Amino acid sequence: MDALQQIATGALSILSFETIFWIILGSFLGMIVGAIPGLSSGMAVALLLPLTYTLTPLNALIFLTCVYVAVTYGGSLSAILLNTPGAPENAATAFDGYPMAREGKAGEALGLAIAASALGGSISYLFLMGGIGYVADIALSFGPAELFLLALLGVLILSAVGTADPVKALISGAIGLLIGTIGLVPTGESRAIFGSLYLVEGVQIVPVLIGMLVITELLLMIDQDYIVDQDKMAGNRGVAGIFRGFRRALDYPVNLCRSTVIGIVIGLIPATGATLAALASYTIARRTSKNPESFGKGNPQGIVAAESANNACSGGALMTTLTLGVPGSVATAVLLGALTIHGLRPGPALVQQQGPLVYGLISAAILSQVFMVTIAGGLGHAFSGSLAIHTRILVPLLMIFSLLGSYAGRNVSFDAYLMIGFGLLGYLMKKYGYLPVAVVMGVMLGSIADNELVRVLQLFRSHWYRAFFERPIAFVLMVVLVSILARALYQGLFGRRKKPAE
Amino acid sequence: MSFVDRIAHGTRCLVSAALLAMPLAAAPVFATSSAQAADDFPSRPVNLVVSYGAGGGTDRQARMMAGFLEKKLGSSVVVQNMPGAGGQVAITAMLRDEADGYTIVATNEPDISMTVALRNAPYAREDVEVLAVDIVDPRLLLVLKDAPYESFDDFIKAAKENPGELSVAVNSGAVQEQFAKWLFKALDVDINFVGYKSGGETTAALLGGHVTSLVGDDFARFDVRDQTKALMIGSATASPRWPEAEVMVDALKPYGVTPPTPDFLARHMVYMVPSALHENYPERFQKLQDAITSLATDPEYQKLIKDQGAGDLTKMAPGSEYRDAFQKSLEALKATTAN
Repeated sequence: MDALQQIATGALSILSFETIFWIILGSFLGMIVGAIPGLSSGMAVALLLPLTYTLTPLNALIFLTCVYVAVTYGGSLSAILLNTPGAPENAATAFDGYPMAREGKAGEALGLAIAASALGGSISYLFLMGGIGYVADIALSFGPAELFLLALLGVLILSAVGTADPVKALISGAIGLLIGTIGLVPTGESRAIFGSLYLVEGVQIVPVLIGMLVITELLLMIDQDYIVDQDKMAGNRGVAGIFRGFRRALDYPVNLCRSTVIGIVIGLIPATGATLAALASYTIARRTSKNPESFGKGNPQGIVAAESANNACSGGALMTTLTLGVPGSVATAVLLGALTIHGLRPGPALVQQQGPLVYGLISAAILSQVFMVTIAGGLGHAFSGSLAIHTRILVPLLMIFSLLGSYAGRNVSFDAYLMIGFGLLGYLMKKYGYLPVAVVMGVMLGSIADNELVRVLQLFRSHWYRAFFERPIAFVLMVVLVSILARALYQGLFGRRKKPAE
Repeated sequence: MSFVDRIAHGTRCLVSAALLAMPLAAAPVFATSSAQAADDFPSRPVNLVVSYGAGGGTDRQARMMAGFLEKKLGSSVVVQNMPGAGGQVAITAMLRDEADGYTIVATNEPDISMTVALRNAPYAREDVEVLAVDIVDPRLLLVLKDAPYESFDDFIKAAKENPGELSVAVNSGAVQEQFAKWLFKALDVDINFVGYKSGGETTAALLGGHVTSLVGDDFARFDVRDQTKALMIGSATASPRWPEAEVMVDALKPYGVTPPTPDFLARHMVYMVPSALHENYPERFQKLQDAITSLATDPEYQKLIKDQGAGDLTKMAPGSEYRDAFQKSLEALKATTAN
């Protein structure tokens, strides 16, 4: 059977009532779980995995893939409406989505996010369908040096976020980096765990994320009766706003395409996920923008960059997962588990022997985008009503969800206390002009950079420079890094000198 | 809003939070009190706590077993994940609960022994007891299919000729890493150990050509069968999945090394309970053990495990059968790490 015939067989195999039912159910459940802060895509897929034991392999995989994809949609709803990324991959969406919602443009922000998600997702699945046979080799060639540089690139966003004093932003980022170094090092020793066994695997990212971003915001919210002014809310949370957002997303074709490509490429790299994709794409969008200072204040481009990249990431991650059996993220690791439970072995042989199944899965992912847009639009419309709920109800409700979310990752109370601690720290930081978001990014990327750097040293010992200078991808990444830094330095020096003259 | 108003408003928020949280906090209290009265164990759901994250090998195995355990016990079995510190978090939590048979931990040995021997865990190995052994998964030394080593000898020879050039990916902080360190130390080989957080990550490093070899587990690494070849397997007999792998005892003989046991430090997936359960409720202990070990002869379960390709590794045997072997490997582990 040639590839085209396999694609046709696969696409036809999903056109049954039962399969479409599982697509819709997966999309719906994934979106609900995704909207709840702290329940990440990995958790969502793992939670729903037992439901699929009795299904056919195709339906089981389709259902779980839809859950995985829908979580990113759901997460963007809470990121925009509540400044509470439902999943870490939506953290960058909140940067501009929430300011837009505060301006009363919640519907439009939702529309932008949904359209960018659908476009980024669909393009990445089409790419997956066309390239699944060829692409995997490139991703595998990313070793410790390349991953270290990639994480470092993400760390550079610290200098790019928001409007705060750059010194305070850097201090916040450094705190995050420091926290990210806690825990097990690749040498098998544990670092800075203060005798606590809950810190052996490092500070869990979910409590930090929920504490710094959610609890901080909830504590600030207590000052107000409603999150946004009621009169501003009324005209803008409706379907019309969402449709306006859909149309506006198409105003940025360059941004869309670039972010989608970034998402796909980062998705292909094992063990990096949609979070890094969204952050990287957001930085680049901001860096290449004509008015970078409007980012973080409600620039639609920020939402488009983040949401198209994190959704496009799933196409890339599925590529690596299916062709190599190497998980691109936590969620695809669970998908790998589902494959083996159903007696399928991921790897190049999967595409050769189970062509119709693989192409059926990809076709279902493309088809699911239609349902995702509908469900996300409807849910966003209904969900945005939460902004009109009195904070006396909203704050405690979210407080409980946050506690549950922090606790549910490992079923350990320590993480819940940790979340409260980070929440209070974040509240104080925000009061004094520091950036809780930079702390979160420091923790996320710091631990990647830290671990990969140790691995470079483990592999190359005293010849560590060879890892950076004798490998083409690493070299290219270094050139990119240096040029971004040089540009920032140039702007910092000459941009400042100009001001007094004006 | 005045300052006083703010305080008042904040208090109202917290009060409503407390009111909403009350049913959640109260639920476990009611559950415990109703169970104490009952003698017909199990009268409420049994918690099966997996000491690793969702989606890993131990998690998948435990979830598969849980479905059968429900039928055997006639009560529901709730699977939870409580990963952390090589199983130490889950065991610590289990020992904090009452030893009434409603909490079982799915984990691995000798990992738990290691938390005691090397990590100063806040419990003694005698505080926990292995209810049953699920599967035994031997350690494996893997290289890429087109690697220039045809045998274990080739690999060791190349490593000795180029000290500090070859590398091996391991799951850092786990018994796998201890096994790799023990192996290459015993052979006096200078090789670079590169630590990763999971078997999946070590596989990616090998397939990408970033490391020359990896230490993994027989069944778990079957996922890369087509891209790799096994040089050595840490079991007493050859593996049907990796027929090319030399058995550890034979592979090490030319170097004058004898492993403490033929399957030294192999991954034993086990179900653990507090030792106090055996003393306080021997009949509950027996009921749980019988339910699990009956799967060794359950045709439906056996078919499922054979379909997955682990038919030769499944044991479903009482933990007591393995007590001596666990003791032996624990002592050897202590000895290898002491010097």
